[in-house]
Amino acid sequence: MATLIDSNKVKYLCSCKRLKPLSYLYYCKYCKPLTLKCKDCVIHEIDQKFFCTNCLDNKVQKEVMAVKYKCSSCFNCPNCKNLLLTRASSVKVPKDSAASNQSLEQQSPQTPQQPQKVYYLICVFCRWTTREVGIPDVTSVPDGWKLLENPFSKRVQELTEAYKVIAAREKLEKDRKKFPTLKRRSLYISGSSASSSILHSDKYGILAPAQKRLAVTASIGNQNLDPQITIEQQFKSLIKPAETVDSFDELPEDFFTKQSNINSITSITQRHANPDFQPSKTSELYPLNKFYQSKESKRCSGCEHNVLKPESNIISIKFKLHQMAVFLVPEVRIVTIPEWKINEPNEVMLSVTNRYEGDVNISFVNLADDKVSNLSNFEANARIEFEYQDSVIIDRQDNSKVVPAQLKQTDEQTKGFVCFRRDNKIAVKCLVTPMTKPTNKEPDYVKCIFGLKCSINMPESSSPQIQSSSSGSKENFTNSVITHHVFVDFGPLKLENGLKVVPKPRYIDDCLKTLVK
Amino acid sequence: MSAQIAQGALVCEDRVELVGDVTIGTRTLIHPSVKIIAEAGPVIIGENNLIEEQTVIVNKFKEGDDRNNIKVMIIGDNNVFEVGTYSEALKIGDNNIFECKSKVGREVTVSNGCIIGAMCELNTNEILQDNTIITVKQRRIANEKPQSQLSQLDFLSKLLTNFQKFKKPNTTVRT
Amino acid sequence: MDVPELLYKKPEFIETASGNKVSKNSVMCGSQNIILQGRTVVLQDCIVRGDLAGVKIGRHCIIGERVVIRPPFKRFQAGVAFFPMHIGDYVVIEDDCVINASTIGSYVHIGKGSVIGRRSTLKDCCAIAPNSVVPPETIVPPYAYYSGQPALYVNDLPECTRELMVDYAETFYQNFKAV
Repeated sequence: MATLIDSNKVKYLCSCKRLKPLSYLYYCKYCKPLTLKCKDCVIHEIDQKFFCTNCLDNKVQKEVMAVKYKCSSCFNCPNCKNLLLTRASSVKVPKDSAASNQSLEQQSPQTPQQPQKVYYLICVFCRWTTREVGIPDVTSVPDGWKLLENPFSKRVQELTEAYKVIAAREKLEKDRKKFPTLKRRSLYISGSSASSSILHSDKYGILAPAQKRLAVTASIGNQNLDPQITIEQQFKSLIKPAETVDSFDELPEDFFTKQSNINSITSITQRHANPDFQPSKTSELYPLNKFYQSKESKRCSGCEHNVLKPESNIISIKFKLHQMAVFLVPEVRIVTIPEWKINEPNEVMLSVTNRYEGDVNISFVNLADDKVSNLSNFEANARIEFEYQDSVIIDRQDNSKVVPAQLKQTDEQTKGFVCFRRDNKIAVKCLVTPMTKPTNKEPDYVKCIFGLKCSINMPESSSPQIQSSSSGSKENFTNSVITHHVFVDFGPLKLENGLKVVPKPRYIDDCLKTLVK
Repeated sequence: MSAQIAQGALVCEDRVELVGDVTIGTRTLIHPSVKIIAEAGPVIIGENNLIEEQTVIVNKFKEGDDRNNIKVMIIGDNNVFEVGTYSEALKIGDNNIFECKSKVGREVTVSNGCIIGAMCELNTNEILQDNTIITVKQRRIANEKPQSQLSQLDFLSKLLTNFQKFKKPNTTVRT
Repeated sequence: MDVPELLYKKPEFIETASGNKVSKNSVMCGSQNIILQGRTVVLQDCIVRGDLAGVKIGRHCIIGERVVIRPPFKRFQAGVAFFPMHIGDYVVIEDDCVINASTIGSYVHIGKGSVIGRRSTLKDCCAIAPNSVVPPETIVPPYAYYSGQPALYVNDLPECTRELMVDYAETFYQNFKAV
């Protein structure tokens, strides 16, 4: 939706002093005063369920970690990163298994041939196939495409296990230094001979997992506690050292002068997509596995309450908790853009939409520019004026009937400030004066800042325990008044490159006529 | 000079513009909203082609061309022009696939078995090798021809006779 | 920028009983197989091929100018078949697109001039950038924004996309008036 309406034009100030469009902001009702949070100042939490976006195969976290977060049946093309499809073709294979060992030339035409289906992967966008790289066709699909094993994985595993042993031993030595006497040490180290350790008497069974962990590390460390063998010596005894390479092939003389075939060399993005192997030739490209994804829930960084919680069903797009700023703060949008005249007031129309569940009273406030523009890197170079400074009511959304565009009695008193009203939306007229910079240079963009003072009746957000005890009685509503800083970027001053003046739409004129009657 | 539609060719009636000397071979299927304009010379389309909606095949003069020099545009057999293709190429071979919204300029000669990817523009002055695959970022030579579309063609010709009106053929099959 | 207002000349559009506004010069082949659920706007020069297979379009959709909506086909061993196409509610398809998808969910926005490959699936609340090519048989997950040729994941859409799309489509329909 940010894609539909150029929402980069109207931005609100988040609590972390960043400017974001309203659709990207969340609100936390437990923080007092009410704060707006953006994606960068909110804590992201990954849900426990993981799924592959292509085949919707879902797994729990432990299972996914075992598979290294890679889906075994969905692949991406190494050439263009698009999905790879499985295509079948039938190949004639002799029925007799003994006969299949012979080479094809030796087989007589009389051996019975059975058509067998073989599968290969093909990218639908760039038509890259596994046949081009020489990967043999596979006969059964679910097990077929195996992950390539890194030739160094064994060595890396040896090294990590050896380091685990060393790490356990180091930890024990550290603990020893902390508690020099045997009596104190025995309180914490289980598995030793001291029978009076606290951990032995596990009356309530809560220390069982901690005991298990301690037992494992103690057993590893206890094996080689001989102080005469140093850590380095122990390490060398566990692993054979890496072999040094003394000589290698020299570069051929024409390495820099020979013209290389560009089509046979991979690009940097293709190499980085497969960091295990980083193939340098296109003949070494291998299908890339797709990764599992999961949904995220968001938490306020100030008070640690949840702000957004998606539903556990993978396919569902709804949310259990959906505290988005759009549902609380009225959204300001630009309706018309005039042909700008510098140092003169230009008439601009802004629309304000209320998506809160109740009525909202708003008023427009001129801010002291210097103070606010220091908060963020927004250079305001235009002055915006509102003729009417008192509050205007915006109704809540009424889905039960189709409401025509009609101005209210109260709007008449604003003398043309409110020029359109339909359901939960109003349009107001303001005057924007782009000003020249102190250096007398013409400004490139027209930007301004103003304050939107909203007064909402919110239910008291006390802690959940108190609320449950007072359920049955009416909820207490408090009137909270917040001034939101709104930063508007109207775009370039000179309208060129296809940008046009946006005239006043006809629906505003129609609405004004209803008032005159 | 009207269009010459061979027996067995299916040219939809709706919004199809055949301007100038256009010859359409047998079993070729032309969907609605297609424009084939023979301005700088005749256009000869072979057999078993599939030309989908919003395709524009135009044989037009380039700036600076001699107006008296007529060039014939020849399109071979078994080609597929998907939705929105724009082709000015004078010579197109057989078994090619032009994907959605691709554009081919006048100087290119498309040989056999080529696949021009979606939204690709080819404005070079060259003869494409057989079985070339062109995508936005690269071109590659494939090992095998693309799959034939004859089964789709047969199915479509049966299906569309129920819904569409076709232009009447007016020549016999070329031998 | 707020939702633009679009005015049309009354004789150019047909308004049906369920509130659909269809342009007269759009080509609807096989119109008995095309279902528009209500309050959908189909602008000029569109081509909807209902003769190949059934096309079902939901409520409050906006289909831009020169869009081609074509049901996808699949090649089997036995032959070829065209699959019916489902488009959800509140879908906005901008001008010059080519849609060969088999399913488009609700609350989807497809940018100008993009090509959606055959048998692809666009789940609810996703968006496709202008001039992108979604390759055949791709599945676009919810709240994803895909862009490029081939269209790859770029970033996420805000979680209030559903409400904003509903708002946009309804306001567009209200602002789409006859002159």
